[in-house]
Amino acid sequence: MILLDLFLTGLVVSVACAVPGLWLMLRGMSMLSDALTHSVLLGIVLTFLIVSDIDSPFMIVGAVASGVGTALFVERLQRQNISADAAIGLVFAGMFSLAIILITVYAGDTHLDLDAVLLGEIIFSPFDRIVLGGVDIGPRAMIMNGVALFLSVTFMVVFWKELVFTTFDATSATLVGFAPTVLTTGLVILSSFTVVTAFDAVGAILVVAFMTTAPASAYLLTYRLRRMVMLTVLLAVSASIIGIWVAMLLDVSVSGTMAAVAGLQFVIIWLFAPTRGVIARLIERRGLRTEVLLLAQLMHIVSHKRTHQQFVVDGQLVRELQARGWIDEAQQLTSIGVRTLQQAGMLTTTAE
Amino acid sequence: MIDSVLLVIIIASVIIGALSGSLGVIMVLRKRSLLGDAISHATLPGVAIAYLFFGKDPLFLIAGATCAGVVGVALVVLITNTTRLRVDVVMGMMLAVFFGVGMVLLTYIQKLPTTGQAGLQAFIFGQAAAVVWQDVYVISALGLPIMCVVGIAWPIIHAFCFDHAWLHARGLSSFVVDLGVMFCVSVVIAMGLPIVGALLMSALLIAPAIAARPWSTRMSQMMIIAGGIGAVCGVVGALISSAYARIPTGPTIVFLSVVIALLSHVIAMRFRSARIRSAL
Amino acid sequence: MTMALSVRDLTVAYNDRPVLWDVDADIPVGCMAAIVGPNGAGKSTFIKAALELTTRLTGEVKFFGQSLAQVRTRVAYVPQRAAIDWDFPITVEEVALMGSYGQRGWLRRPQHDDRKRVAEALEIVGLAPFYKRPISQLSGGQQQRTFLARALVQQADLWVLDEPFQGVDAETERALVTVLHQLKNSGKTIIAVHHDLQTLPHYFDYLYAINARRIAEGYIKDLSVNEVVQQAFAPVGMSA
Repeated sequence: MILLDLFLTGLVVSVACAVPGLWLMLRGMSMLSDALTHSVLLGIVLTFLIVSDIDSPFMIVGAVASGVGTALFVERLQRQNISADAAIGLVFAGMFSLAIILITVYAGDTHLDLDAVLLGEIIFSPFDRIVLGGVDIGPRAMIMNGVALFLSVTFMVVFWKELVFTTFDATSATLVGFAPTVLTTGLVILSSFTVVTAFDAVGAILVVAFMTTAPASAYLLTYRLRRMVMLTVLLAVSASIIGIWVAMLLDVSVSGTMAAVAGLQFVIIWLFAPTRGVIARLIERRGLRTEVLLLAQLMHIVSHKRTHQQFVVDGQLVRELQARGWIDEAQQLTSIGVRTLQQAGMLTTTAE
Repeated sequence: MIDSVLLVIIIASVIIGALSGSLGVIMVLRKRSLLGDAISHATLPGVAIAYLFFGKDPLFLIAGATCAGVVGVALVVLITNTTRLRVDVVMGMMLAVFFGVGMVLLTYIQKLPTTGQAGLQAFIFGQAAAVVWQDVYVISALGLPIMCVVGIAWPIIHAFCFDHAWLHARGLSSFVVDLGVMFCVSVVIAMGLPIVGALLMSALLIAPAIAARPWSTRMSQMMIIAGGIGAVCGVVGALISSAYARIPTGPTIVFLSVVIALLSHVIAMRFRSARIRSAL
Repeated sequence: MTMALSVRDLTVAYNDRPVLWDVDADIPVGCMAAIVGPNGAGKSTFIKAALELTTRLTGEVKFFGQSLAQVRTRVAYVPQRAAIDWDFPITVEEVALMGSYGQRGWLRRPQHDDRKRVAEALEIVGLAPFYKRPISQLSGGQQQRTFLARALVQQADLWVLDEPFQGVDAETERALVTVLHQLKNSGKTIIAVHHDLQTLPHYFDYLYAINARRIAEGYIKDLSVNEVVQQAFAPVGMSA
């Protein structure tokens, strides 16, 4: 039962992060997911210092507020001639360092634990359960991330048309009355919410792994948006299941292993993806090169046969040409060869 | 008044602040601010692996961190060049995945019977109190050559930031120069880890540089200003945290530098609008 | 005569540096207008400011005598090629369908007759066989025609195009011009930022020359194009 809870929690966290992460990636806002995970901590700490109850719903309000604050602050700085990446780096470092200072200063008096908040340990999540009216509904992390996932998916389904339009062509969308900022704000709120809920389980930094890796892998696999969403979810699921399993086998950090597996998945896809993977393209390029060389050799043979000159031939290419039936034993152009050359546009009149 | 422990921390902070501040100018000018973040997170598995093989020698830990950082950068560059992915996605991914691998290794080390993970956690959050003279020697011994390299290769670095045609005209591959510069940056980041930690080290790289930006248009001046700001933040941060027992050194240094960067831009704006008004 | 686009005293600044100074414009309905000026003259800024896509310091803009809010869906915009992420995972059909979104408004899904209009529009621009294809797998000209189809689906009265002929092959350019001329003949108004001064008098019948200020505007047959262009391309400050 506990094992099942653990797997389910990991799965839900992973998918809940991946869905808003995909949209942040498509909107060119991936840097923001990095910033959010750091800056949201300040909101959590500040709220905690006020309400001093780590399970209070205000924690989420505080975290979301600081997330939105980060986005606004970054935008404000950009108008100050600071480039986007520098602005983001500056803002989250400031908020994050302040948060750590506060945590260490007040650490003795509170239950805020730096390691837990930043590094998270999903392994304990099945033991922290939500009990309503005496009924055990499930692990807190799973329920909370389930809510985050539900909200993200609902947002995506309801605003699909608007999301696609404003992401693809913000200018035209604005013009006909779909303000991109509305959806951006929605996404930032959702992402902040997701980050807070995922925090507990996997820690701040690894949230970034779940928000970027599955979407980036899916992006390499397809040019169709719906398929991309599906693949993102699938890859997030597989990374979490394999990750948890491996981590239990080796008895090492579960969230760390989930991130590592997600990374491994990406590398495999990056290298071996059909048609767009690094290796597929290398093969294609070599294939193209061979085709061109063959045609050139064929042309060479034809033109020199015409002028009855001595010519140099590449034995290997000639054998390949003969194997394909483009020339015969006597290196005479065959009718297939003629057709090939005509198709390649290298021969206009019928030869011989 | 100033005891030996504090003196060590101050000296180390000043060197790290000055080094990272001045090198950070390159990152900011090349719009690479977040790459520093990726490098500093990526160092973690390097630290863990170095620890596994060579124990707690600071030189090996720094070497391991540097190698991992360079591998991280190389992967970021390689992946962005061979896919349609934007560089920010790739950086976010590399940063987090390397960090995850680091976590896995750290938890593995923790379980080894021979050792506790003994202070490796300090590389994540930084622990200035644990810095000893040996660290200062290593930092100085590595920092000095880096500054010399920057000084000697100055025209190349300047061209790397502003004028790639100059590099090509002299037969220098900008990729190789890039690798060299990123190597230096990785070394500085690795050196800063024990004090500032992997999570915040990149901020110490860029904040002083952003602070220096409005006050000069010349790169050399910017590097001197940024190095100065970094050093000052190092001293003040170390002093503050020693005065108040619970305030951690690394985050304080970073927070100071961010505040200075923001203030610097606010003041610069005031100056500029005052000048525009007087011109009218 | 009603004006498709009339602009009064438009001033736009980026970071306290004015890009457009007190610009006026009166582009009549039913013309095909070229916006011409040197690089950095503010051509794109002029269009974007008129369409409220950048903040303007001063100025009043009317479309068909009304404010933009009232005529939003009657204005179609084709962005610069560089402004679009051509790797975005989206198909030709989905892009064209966006033309109907403005009229549908928030949350309503496109209907059957929207899809019918998409099919017709793709037929017109010659992309019918490619309707399921991702835009990343199209040629530059086909990509541009996809956007044209989107504007067709929108059934707009005013078409604003930012450098529509940039980076397309000669054949596509001819096809685009043909479609645009057909539109003009059916009473639509077309405003395009244009670079090629040689094709200018063949493609367009109205000229709007700009260089931080309005240099000149009017029907090409009434203007001495060479003189206007020379004036527009003179260094700023000398012409004023």
